[in-house]
Amino acid sequence: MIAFDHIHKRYGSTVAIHDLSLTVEPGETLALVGPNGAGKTTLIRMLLGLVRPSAGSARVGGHDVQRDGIAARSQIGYLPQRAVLYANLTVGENLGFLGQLRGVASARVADTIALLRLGELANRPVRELSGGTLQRLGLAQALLADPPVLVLDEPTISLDPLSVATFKTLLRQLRAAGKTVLLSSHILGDVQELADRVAILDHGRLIALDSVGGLARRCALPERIRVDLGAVDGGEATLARKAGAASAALQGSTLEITVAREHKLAVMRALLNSGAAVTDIQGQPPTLEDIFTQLISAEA
Amino acid sequence: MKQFQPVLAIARRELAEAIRSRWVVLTGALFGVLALALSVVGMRSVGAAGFGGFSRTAIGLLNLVLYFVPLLALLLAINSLAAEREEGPLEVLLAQPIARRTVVYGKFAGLAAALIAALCGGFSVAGLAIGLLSAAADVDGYTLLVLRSVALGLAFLSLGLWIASAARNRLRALTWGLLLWFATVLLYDLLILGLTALLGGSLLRAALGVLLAANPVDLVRVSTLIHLGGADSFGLTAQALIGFLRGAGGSAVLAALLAAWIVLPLLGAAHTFARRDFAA
Repeated sequence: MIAFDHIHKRYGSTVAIHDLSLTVEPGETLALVGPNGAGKTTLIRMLLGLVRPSAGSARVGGHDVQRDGIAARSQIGYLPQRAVLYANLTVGENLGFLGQLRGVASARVADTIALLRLGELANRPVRELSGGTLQRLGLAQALLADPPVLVLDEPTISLDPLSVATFKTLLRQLRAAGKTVLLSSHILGDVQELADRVAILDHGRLIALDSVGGLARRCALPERIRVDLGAVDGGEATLARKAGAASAALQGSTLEITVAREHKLAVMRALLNSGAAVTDIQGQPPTLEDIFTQLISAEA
Repeated sequence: MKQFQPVLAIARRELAEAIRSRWVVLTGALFGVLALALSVVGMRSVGAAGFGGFSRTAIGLLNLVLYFVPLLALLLAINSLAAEREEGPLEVLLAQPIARRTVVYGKFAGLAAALIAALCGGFSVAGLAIGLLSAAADVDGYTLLVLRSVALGLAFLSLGLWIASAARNRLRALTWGLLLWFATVLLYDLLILGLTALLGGSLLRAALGVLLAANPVDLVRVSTLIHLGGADSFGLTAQALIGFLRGAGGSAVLAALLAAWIVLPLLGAAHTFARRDFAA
């Protein structure tokens, strides 16, 4: 549905995006993550035709963004990082105006206002809205024409926790409805929760592209395991380390272990065979934050 | 017709925002107050003595127009396009399935409507005062002054949009806009005076023609003065040019040149806007 083909962007002597190829399949949610200046926003802007690539191309639904930009953009609903609309116009007027540009019927505008719970604010000027409500309005304009592709740049950055939860629910509904989503975010917990695949960018280069599980396997990061003990005799941590744990320490009656995947079973077996009073075991797979930190550190 | 819908939608929004921000009302009122003051003072100083009194008042209004209208139009255009880019809505607008040029043409149409409303409001107040104070006001002359003022405003609106399309940010655009205003409204006449002193004969006549065409402010000044009889005080060398411009052919050339000053910068603005990057 979205394809970047050897896309490259240079500003003078600075390379913002370096020969990057990437596809997002129909119905997939792909997240772009990376440190500040990694090129996420530049990549999104090239997809929207706001920035011209120095080389390569971007396509949406088969339409080349540079040669057939209007057709390409008709497939996209875009939520920018700062979802600012026209301050002196009301919520309804803003959505009505953008609806006119996209040839959307007024009934659809009303439906979108209702979907995003903006009905009570429809006659209020945008300059009077809070940051969270502005973001909801931004999402409303992105969904206005019911496009098959959503491009969301830091969608939860100015939302309160309740609005974040509502946004995630809505995004799950949109995924279930078959929307293709390209998401850029610094909030790695949200990305891990929402994305099918993650593209990690650094200095304009694509350094990893996979599901969170696939990236974790590739990085061979150790897992964290918490073992609750009914009684402690003091030798459990030493036993775990001898069996292959990278680290093991007792915190009260809980043994906290860090262990590579290949040694996990051996450590558990050693603990259980020793007669330790194990009452519960909780595994914590590596988080996207762990993966991100390892990959970016390796690049540096 | 369908391809004009986005232009109309953008123009309507631009006009609505100009009205909501009270820009049209305030500038119209300011222009009206200044024009009214000039008209009343002008008509009283000559005792409302008829045509001569009207001409003197109209020349006073012309000077107000030549200083005020280009500045107003430049600030309006630059503030609209550059501010929209810096404050954010332009990013959402350009992400819609519309051509970039559509944005420039729509903005021009909406801002032109706002500018025309402001100028017509001001001119109406002044025109009413002149009509009440003068026994023999020149309605045709006044209408021509209004039309030329609007044309001058539209030319500088196009130039302002071109500057805002090319400039990196609002501050740079404002700097370039003020420099253009200073050069065309204040500096240009000094340049012409200098050339008049240096050149002579046919060379000066040719240079005057080119210099006249190269500045919309002087086009409006000279064409209005010709109509009001104020061009008689121009030097001998200029009289041949004035003689030509006074005829039907000359009026057509002046009108075509003013139209070119509106259309060509607008096309330039659309071309520049369509080709530039909108990076974060």
